[in-house]
Amino acid sequence: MAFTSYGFLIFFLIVFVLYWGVRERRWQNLILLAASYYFYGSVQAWYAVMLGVSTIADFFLARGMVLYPGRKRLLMGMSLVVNLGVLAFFKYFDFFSGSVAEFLNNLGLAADTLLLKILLPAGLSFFTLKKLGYMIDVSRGTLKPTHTFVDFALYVSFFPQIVAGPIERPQKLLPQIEAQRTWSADLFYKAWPLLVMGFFKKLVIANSVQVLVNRVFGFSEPSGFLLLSGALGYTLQILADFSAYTDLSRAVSFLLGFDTSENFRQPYLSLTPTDFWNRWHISLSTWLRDYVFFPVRRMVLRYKLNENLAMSIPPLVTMFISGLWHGAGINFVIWGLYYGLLIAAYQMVGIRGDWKPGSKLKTFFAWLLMFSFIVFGWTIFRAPSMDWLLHVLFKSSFIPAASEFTLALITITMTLAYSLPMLLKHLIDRYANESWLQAAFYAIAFALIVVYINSASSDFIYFQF
Amino acid sequence: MRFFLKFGLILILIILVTSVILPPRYEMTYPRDPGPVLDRQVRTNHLEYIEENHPQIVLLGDSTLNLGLDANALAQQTGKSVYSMGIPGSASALWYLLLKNNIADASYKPETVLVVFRDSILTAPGYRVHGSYFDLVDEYARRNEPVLIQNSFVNLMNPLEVMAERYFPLYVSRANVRNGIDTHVRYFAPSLFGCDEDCTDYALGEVFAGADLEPKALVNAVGAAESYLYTPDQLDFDTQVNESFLPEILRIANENNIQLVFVRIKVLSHGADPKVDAYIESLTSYLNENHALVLDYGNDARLTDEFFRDSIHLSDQGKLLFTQMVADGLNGIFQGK
Repeated sequence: MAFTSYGFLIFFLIVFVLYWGVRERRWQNLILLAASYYFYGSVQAWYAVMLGVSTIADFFLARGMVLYPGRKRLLMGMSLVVNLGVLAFFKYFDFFSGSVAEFLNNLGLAADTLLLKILLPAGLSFFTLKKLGYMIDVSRGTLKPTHTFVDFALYVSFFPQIVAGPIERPQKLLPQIEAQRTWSADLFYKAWPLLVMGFFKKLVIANSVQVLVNRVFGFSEPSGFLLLSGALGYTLQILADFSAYTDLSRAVSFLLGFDTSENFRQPYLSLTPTDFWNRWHISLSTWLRDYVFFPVRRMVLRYKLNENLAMSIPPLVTMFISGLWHGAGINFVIWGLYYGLLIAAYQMVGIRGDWKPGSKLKTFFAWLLMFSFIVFGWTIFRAPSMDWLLHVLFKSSFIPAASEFTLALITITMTLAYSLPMLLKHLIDRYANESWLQAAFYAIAFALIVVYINSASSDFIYFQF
Repeated sequence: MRFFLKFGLILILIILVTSVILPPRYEMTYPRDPGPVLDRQVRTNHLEYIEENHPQIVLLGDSTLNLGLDANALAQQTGKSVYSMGIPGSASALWYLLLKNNIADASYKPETVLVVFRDSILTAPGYRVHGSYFDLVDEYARRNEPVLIQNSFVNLMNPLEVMAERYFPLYVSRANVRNGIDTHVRYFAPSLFGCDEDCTDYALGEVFAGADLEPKALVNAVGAAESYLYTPDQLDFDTQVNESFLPEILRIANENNIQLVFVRIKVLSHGADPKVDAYIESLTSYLNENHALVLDYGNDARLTDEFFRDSIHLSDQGKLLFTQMVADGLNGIFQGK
């Protein structure tokens, strides 16, 4: 059930009326929990069953850590096995299903490879990190586990976030779940601009650009120039698509009385790779920073390694895990390592996340270089396979044939044209907040949503992770 | 709140202005009936052929027909004259229009019409009727096609869409407005390099029609398009059949003494599925009850993977084999087996 579908509108209206109708916090949480499980189970009922079982397991494991402090490590280990096991099984099982079928056939057991094709439940990667964050914090003693199962289950399954995040920390969401919530018009005033921008970025920008992007990345052997145009298009598409999802998720949360996290802060204005990851998918990068990067760095520091090595290992490990988290494909792993290497390389030359260039010219070149790295990163991410990418990069001609050149020009023009509203929005937010100009921008965006609306909008890209 | 009021005021202004400007521009009056407006012309090239050549068997279908059945070989093997009306990108909406406006309207009626279909396509009236497919449907539609508008469009709209179609000019004109925006974007950059609109259209046509697709992308594209036919809604035969063109197709054929034979072709895009089997069972009973015949090769073991060029189309070898199989089936029917 996509946020942009009619089905979701009906679902949300029912939930909204029931939720604010009951007023009592306990009932509100129960309604939200039921709605979240319905929302998640509407794709596949067993997704909801799996979510429920793993939630029960983590709730009691966390409670066990308080009751039996001496067994914290064991209980944490069990949680890691359960959560990472389920994640690994669903994320990487497809890779091995063919071999499993062959093995079963050799044993004389009939095994249809299609039956063995296990689909990754949407949102699994997101709620697994949510639960793991909770468990690690409880085991570290930095978070008191909640006593109420419904509150914990709601924290894990909160439907505006379950499919594609943001990966909310328990410290932010649980207190809101545990607090009394009352309706105020202010919630609507916070939500509507996010709703307009979410729909606008998804229906107008992302869906328009994706047609050409899919075509470019669908060619068996595009020229280098055509690939560049497609990569620029995808750079816009993925930001518009994913940030649209976050905007809609935050808007829906506001309408239910919750203030959830931002996930993007103009990531394409970054000057360094660290800066980029501080602005892109913020809830994931902060999670990785706190639960992977810092522990790895502490471990590396203990061994007193060579300075360059000590500086390189934590980002490489962190970004490798980030790549794996995105998918089992080799593209994702290389994409993760690519960012790990970039962060390490920038750090080695003394450029860290808080680096500020001395002049505007330096700033421009730093931005241009980083933007080029970002575009290349998305090329790795989007390529149908690494073989395909290597072939295009090293064997195809950069100069396209006439018709391909025309397609490349159209793709670039389209990317520029559809990125203009986002740039304009950034400038208006900065220099003309709450002005008539900003109101006009939202009104025109709304009118364009009506123009671009299509009954069959495609799914959000990040659903697949 | 003040900011929301500002937004609301400007939005109302935009809606009012577009409601005044757009209706005369696109020749619309309000409130209007929901659904697209069809043009006045109807293409009758197949009707003319049928009247001139009097084929005994007419084949209806999409690209799976063109790449799966050889009309000449079928004619030789059945001893009857055969005319193929396979139109790539067509589906049940277009087949209904072809039967109604080109076959049934002809002064000569063929004895048999063979409809080559796959899985749930016969009861999916919303399949391949939007975007560029609409132009194809519109070509063979008359100005007034209430069944087409109802089944392929209105029945698939939610209540909000129906209201917007009736009363909201900006929504109804959205395809035209969007086309205007896309046209500016599409032709701008090539024109700077001396490539005018015709040159750009030609280049795009060449690029988009080309078969130079990465195999995985091709499989994904076909799979994504075909997945519509396998949703739980589409496989619910009892619900879908009354919303589909099938009752009308059967009525027209029966009224014109045309024997309908539905030929289910095998595809690889969707694996063995008990839900599809149940659907086909219901479909077959329904068609038989309505005097139509069914030749089901959907699970035929003779059509192995090597007879396919992609997940839904047969190869040249597959075409040879499938034509022979259908000819045998038809000969069985003609001999009253």
